[in-house]
Amino acid sequence: MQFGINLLAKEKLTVGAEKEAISHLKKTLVIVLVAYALVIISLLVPSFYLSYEKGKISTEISQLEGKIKSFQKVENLEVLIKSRVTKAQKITESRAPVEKILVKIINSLEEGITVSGLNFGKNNQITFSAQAEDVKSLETFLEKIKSVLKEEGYSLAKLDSIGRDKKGGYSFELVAEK
Amino acid sequence: MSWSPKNEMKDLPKILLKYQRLVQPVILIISLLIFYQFLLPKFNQVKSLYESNGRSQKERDALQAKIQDLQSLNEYELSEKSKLLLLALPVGKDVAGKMSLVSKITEESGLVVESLKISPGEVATQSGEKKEVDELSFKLTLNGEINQFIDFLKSTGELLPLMEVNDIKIEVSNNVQATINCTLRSYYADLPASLGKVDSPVPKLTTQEEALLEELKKFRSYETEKFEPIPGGKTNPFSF
Repeated sequence: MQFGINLLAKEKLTVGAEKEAISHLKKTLVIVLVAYALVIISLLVPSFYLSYEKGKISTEISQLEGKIKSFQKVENLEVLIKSRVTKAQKITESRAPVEKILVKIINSLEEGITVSGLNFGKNNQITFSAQAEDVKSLETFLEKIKSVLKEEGYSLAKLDSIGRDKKGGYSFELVAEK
Repeated sequence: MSWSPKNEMKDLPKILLKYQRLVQPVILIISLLIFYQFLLPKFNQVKSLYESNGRSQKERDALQAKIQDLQSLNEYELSEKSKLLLLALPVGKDVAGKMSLVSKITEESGLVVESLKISPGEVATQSGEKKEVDELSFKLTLNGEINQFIDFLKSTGELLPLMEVNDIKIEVSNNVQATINCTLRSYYADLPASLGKVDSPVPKLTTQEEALLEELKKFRSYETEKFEPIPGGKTNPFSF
């Protein structure tokens, strides 16, 4: 009994598949390599360019810093002026217009009113002590002084105390606050 | 059969055929490993270089702008302004100078100084921080007319160095003569300690600050001492 085995056909089939596998591998490797090359190029080109730019900017910065040093005298003066003027402004802004208020108070003094004390205290508080000969002069003065103080931004001007004196007049104390 | 690279290469087609399904995933994994190990750090390097250049460009632009600002400034004008401001707000207490000044103003106003006491003023805030501006106060008792005191107030309000009159207590007799107790506060301040960073912009004066400078020019000054605003060879760039 004899058996026929066709070895040649199977061998051909295997060789064909192997060639195809190698070809497939080659294609895959080529694609991968090309992709890598593109990635590497896209990284290296900007890297070189950015390194070059960095060096260029650093040089420019050094030159500019050198130039700024040559202006140090001017910069010192400007910094000094700014610092001083800011402080001076705070001082001038915080100063109460005592002179202006005092003039207005003096000008509003009525006939029959005698000033005994005037106190410009902390937090812009004004305490005013005086004597009035009669009720009329007292009322007129109070109206005037309240109006003056209102003009100067004093929202509260109240009669803190009032009493009769030995001469039959009125002693009073006015307190004004902002 | 012994192993050799030649034999392996000879057997490669067979191996490939045998593990055909695994080839592509293996290549993909190897590619990813290479990317992760070598290309990703490079990518991050490029990214940080780009960011660093961005910062450097901003710094360069700031420096260029600063140079333009500095070029636009007039050294003589600045020197004059600084002299004026050092008169308005001097560096030191100068107790003797200020006492003499107080005497001059009161004398000019026609007031009589009954007593004069020096008080150092607050040197620190309540929280313990050093104040921006130091004070030197004089407690005064003055005798004279109210109008003379008004003149005195006017003088101190338009005087260099800057002063402030407060805590005023006026006792009037005959509606004219008065005894005035008040505090005359004068100010002084240290010079700036540093210029700040090289790329920090040149400080510019606001309109209000320019207006204040113009106003200060009109103020009276009894100061005769000359200031040389720019120092040489000292640690503090502002030291005189």
